[in-house]
Amino acid sequence: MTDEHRADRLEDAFRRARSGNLEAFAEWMAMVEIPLRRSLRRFARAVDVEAAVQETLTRMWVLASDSQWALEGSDASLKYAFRVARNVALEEVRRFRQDRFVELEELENLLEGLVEMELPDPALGRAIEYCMERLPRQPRRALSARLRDGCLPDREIAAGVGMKVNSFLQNIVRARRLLADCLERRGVRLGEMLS
Amino acid sequence: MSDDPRDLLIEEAASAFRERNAWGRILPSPSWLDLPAEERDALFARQLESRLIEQALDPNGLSTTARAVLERLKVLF
Repeated sequence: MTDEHRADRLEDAFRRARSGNLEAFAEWMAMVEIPLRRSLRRFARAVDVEAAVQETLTRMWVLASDSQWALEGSDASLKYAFRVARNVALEEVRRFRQDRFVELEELENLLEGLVEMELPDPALGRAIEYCMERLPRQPRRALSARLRDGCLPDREIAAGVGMKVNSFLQNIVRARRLLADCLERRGVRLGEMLS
Repeated sequence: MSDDPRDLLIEEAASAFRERNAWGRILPSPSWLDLPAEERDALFARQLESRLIEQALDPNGLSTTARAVLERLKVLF
């Protein structure tokens, strides 16, 4: 898929979301989340990026639902989401008084995100599945449960797989290491893909 | 198994689950607040990798972050 097609698909999903279509908004989120998250790298020491990303996506839904709001130009929704994310992050820095960790003035004047959008690669999914299947049982159960149900509290997910929270977390850490080793043997370096 | 408290704290904060205050505003993870600055960089990398894996494994390409937002939107709207 070319960059142009990706951008068209993104803006088409956002246009459909504007009529209250939550499925289209989910499709849009799947395309923008990683670039949006990467655009907040400079804030990582001063902002809980997870909270900032969730707040940004929620605000984008509210904006999408506003019929008075006009959005024009190429990659318009992605560019606007970058701007919202930066504003949310700056609000969070001030709200939790974390400005000692960053140069606030520098972040306020940062150019808008230029991170390119990429869609998940099916070959990556197959490599991850291959390596997940080869993990030892307990680490695999813990990591699979977290990857599937990670929007729930850890105590609930851990209880679902019959583990105490501490052993659940220990198993996930171990599973992630083994998964990264396996992927690396198959020529996949997640860190490099995301740097 | 890993007993490194640093790793466990980072893993706790890598979750997409976040509490909300009485007004519904999302709160940072308590584990994130406990992390020193350089460990927050490590957390950023781990979250990014995890969301990429979650997307790759989900039939709709959704990470746990996107699913948390969808659940929230269903409650609110």
